Amino acid sequence: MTCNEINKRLPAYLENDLTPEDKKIVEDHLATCDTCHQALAEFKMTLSLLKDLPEVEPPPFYEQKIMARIHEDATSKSGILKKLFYPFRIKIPLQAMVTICIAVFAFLIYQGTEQDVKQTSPLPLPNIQFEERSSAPYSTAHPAPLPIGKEEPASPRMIDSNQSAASRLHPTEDKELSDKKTISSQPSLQKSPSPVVKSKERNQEEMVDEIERPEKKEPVSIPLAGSDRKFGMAYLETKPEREGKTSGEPMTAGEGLPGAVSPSVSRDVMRHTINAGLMDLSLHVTDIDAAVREIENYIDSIHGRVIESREIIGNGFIKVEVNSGVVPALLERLKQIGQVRKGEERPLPSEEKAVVLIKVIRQP
Amino acid sequence: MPEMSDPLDALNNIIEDNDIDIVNRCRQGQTEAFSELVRRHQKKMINFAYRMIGEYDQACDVVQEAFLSAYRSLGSFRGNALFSTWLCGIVLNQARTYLKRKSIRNRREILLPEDHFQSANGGSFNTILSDEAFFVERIDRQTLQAGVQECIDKLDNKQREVLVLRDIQGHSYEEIGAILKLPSGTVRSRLFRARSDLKNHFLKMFGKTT
Repeated sequence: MTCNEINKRLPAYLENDLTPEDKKIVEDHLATCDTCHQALAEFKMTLSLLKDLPEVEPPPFYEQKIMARIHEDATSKSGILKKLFYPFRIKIPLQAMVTICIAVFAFLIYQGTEQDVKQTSPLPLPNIQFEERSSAPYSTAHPAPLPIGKEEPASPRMIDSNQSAASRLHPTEDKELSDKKTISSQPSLQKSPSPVVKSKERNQEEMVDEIERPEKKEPVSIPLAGSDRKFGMAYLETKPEREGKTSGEPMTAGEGLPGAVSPSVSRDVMRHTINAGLMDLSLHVTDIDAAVREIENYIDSIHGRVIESREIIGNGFIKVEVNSGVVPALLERLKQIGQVRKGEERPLPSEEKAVVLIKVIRQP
Repeated sequence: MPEMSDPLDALNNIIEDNDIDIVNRCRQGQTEAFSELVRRHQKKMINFAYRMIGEYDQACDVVQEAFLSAYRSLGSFRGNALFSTWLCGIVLNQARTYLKRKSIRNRREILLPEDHFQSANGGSFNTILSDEAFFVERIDRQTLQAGVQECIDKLDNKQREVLVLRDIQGHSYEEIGAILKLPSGTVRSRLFRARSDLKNHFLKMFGKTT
């Protein structure tokens, strides 16, 4: 083994980290080689000098200095964290509260708006009135038809029961507006006002004055205030029931049909309008279209007038105006077309014209 | 040199158990618990930094920064190594940073002239070896130690690291490898070159043996 190889093993030899064989080889070499022996001595001295280096002591209060720095750092760190997250800790609950408040207010506003929307909802379609009518038989006390815009007195009970919608919907609306709407919705009916109705106008006005304002003699001074305005609507239905009157007067075109009223009021008015017919018939046929055409042709042949003809959920509704004298013949003709069922029995009018409502039902 | 690593490793292991507990307490927010870690390791870290840097005050500052950095980084301490080893690595990094800055500043190194010892003792390194007692009597021991430190400072940083960690701090090769992130063989070879270079510096400073 060369001296260079021995020198490389000297550190391990000093640290007693050689195998016994290598250790013996190194020792044999050192015993014979002065150079390597000198190198070993220098190496030992080097390590000895390093080992003899004294340990330095920490300066006084060194630990306290370090801990002061650490406390300062911890405080600033928490300060930074607080600075970073403080807004979040505040903002998140704050934003949540604001969101909840907005949601609650929106819900409340929506509720109020929804109620208003319900109140201002458009009138139900006339065909729906017909459908409801078909399920409910006419009352025996049919109200007398009223001229457009005329109102009758009502009982306090009915005033209270109908106090809900009409007054809120059109508190300041002129009754002419409702008349216009009625006319626009029933253009065909508006063309032929009955002279009988005109003759009744004065009596209606007097009745209103007598019941609603007994101390006043002013005719037809219906206040436009909402609470009173709706009473006029209620009169249409309540008067016949209360007084038990059955005038038997034929319904004139578009009578009493308000332009925009609450569903209950408009339903009453529509029922009143439909009930104005003298006769209420149900005609059961197999072919509704053919039956309706045949009825219309027959009405034309007897110089009658088809006031209204429509189809509602598979059934036909025909409202005709004919001379009172041909009503029996009309019944006979209808019996030929299909099976006739009379809804109500009412005395024939004394007037020349009679309105007959024919419900054409498909017979299975 | 006798076995240096085993007793120290055993000591480190004993300390480590307590260190882990303290570290966990510090992690839980007990800042005062860290003072115990400072108390246990400050001297060793200061000596290590001092031998690395060669300037006592700067070494204290470096170790102080190292403790602060260790406290901030306690969350990243996984416990895979001894806390002292982990802390020693932090001190080493701080020392490296300081030395790099020092090198950048091109600070003038206080070097004792090579003939200082020769003129002082009038002998040679061989004389030191043969008659250390006489040398100690003639030369101030602190001056000798300053010369040794100067020779250490002349070493390459990498050699100085392994030399200080092994021959002064007494870490095992495994610990040194863990601190320096080097394999044990590299540590051994680097240590051999460091010792050889240090011996040459001693010979230059104290005189070549004849």
